[in-house]
Amino acid sequence: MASPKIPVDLILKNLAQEAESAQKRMGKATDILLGELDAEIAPTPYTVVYQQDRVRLKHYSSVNPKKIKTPLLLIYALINRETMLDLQPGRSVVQNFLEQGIDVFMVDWGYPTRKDRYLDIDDHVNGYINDIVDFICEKNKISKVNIMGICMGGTFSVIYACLHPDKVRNLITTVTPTYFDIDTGLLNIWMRSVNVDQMVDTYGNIPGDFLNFGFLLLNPARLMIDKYVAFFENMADKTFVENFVRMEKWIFDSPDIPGETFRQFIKDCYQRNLLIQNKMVVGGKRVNLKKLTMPLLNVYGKFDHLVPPEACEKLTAAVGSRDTVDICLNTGHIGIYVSSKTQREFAPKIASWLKDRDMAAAPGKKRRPATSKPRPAKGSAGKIPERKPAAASE
Amino acid sequence: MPEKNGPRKNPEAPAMDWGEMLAQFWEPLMPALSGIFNPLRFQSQTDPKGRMDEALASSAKAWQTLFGSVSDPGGMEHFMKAAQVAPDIAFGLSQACLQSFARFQEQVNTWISKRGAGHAGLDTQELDKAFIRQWTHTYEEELSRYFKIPQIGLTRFYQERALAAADKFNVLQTRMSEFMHLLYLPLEKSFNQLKEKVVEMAETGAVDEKSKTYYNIWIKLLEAQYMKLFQQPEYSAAMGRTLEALHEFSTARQAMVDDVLKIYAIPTQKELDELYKEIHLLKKRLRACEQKG
Repeated sequence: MASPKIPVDLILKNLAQEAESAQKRMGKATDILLGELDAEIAPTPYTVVYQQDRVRLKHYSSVNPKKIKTPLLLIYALINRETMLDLQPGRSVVQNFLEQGIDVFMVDWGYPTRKDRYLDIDDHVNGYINDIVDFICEKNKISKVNIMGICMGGTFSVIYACLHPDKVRNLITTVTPTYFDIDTGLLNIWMRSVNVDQMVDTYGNIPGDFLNFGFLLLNPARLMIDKYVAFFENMADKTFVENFVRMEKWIFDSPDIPGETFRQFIKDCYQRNLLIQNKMVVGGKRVNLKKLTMPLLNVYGKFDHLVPPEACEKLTAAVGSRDTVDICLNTGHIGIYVSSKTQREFAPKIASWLKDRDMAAAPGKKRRPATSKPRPAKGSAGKIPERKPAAASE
Repeated sequence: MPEKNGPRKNPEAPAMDWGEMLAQFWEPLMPALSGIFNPLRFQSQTDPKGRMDEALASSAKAWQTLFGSVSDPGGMEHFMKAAQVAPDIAFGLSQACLQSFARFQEQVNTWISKRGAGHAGLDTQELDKAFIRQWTHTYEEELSRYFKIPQIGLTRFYQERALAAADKFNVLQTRMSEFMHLLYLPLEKSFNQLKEKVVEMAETGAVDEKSKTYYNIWIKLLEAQYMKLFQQPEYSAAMGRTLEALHEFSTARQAMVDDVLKIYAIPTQKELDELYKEIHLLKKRLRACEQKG
């Protein structure tokens, strides 16, 4: 048998060339890193119109005419920060919504301190969110708002919509976990063996860095090695460096999570899966998904490793609303909000969905009936499991 | 055996001479030292004589007495007798020490034999894993007990808390070793797979001269290995144990820190938490009252 031929000379030659180009790249990279970088995040101007404790409400000013009458309240998760929705010009969900003529408010949960450790889901949902909704309604002289929840914020939005259905006109859930008894998500598997009581009793609030380390462990090969290899290879590209630094700024800007909220979320949702069974109790009241009767748009990512499609897709079948739509996009957990490609379809789709229902809700206007056959979102995995015939549910 | 030359000398004589000489040496020095260590500036109302002076004088007196007794023929005789039994005492002491050491070694052997008993036919591939597991068990079942010996005396509670923190830290280290070892395994496996892949490529003539190609292959293999590991219950269990050890160490450390905070009259975390809870409950009651009103 002939011995395998390995072009050692070529390999060595390439290695030498790579070393030379790496040296040149480092020279350029030094100039870039020492120079001025535009790595600012959350550039869209806003005004803080309401504040309660650490929680603030941002209102984004827009020069575009309002095409949707009902304001949209964005409720982000308690993990990481809401700045991800306004990462940079051209990659901003907020800017896209403003361009679509939506009046945008966004909850900024701030940085919980030790004194916030006893705040539970009830305090966030029936306290802060409810007060914010009341404020927006009073300010705009309306009785209902549109709500879009993101991830854990989406779960809070679902709970809020069930407990206060009279205050929500339309609900949009994005990458929102509502079904937790799955084996496809590592978080779901890991959270079952975590002693959450011991964790909360030890730390009070759950440290953001602690959670971040957990997220890095979900895929160490990509998140702890490959990502930085890519950075090293592209250090001579100023735009790449700026975008990279922006993402790093966002990823590692992790507020702590109030201990009691974490305890309840992990125990009731991840360990007991109570929400989808209508058994979860918040503020002494049972959360009944059948009371979620407003139109519901449920968006999730096909390649989401944190909240897999299986964790999201059961919601629409469980709620009381008869106007529900599922959209599964060909992207991951963060890609939905920051991928330029996804952005081109995400915001317009939501705006169009809201516009249809906003017009229908306006006095003297009739709601447009839903199409008989659901259509997949452009570029999506084509997964729109079911769409019940639209009917006035309020 | 008597010496051939000259009269037989008293063997204690040189020691006696030396003792007498030292006693004579200390006698005139005493008043001089007393002057040096007894300046007026060191005197106080509560200590008019000067503590240093007093201590020095008593030490010098003790030395003088000791050397005086050596210079005395009868005293020297006792001293020499004592010196003759010294080797016996030293032997007795060293024997006790050796026996203690032997007992300790015996105990260590017992631990090791106990640990090794269930692994007679151990796979050599699993040796590193077994070593970590055995070390963990050895620490937790044998060594950890020494940190739990009841403490006595006024500071017993403080000592107990310090020992508990040290013990929990050691437990955390053992758990971390186990966890880090698990995280290392995919690296090892992916490198082995990469080597096999390169051989395969060489055999089929598909060798690529770009290093990036091999990096891309390796990172995919590594990712796959990690995904495989993370799905295993063994990993979840190890992670759970490590987290538990981390939390136990944090709690033990906090208890030790609280001791220090109390000394400086700084509120402890527990005290602050109680206060935060009261504020939280008061705010809830206020909110409920406002809603009713």
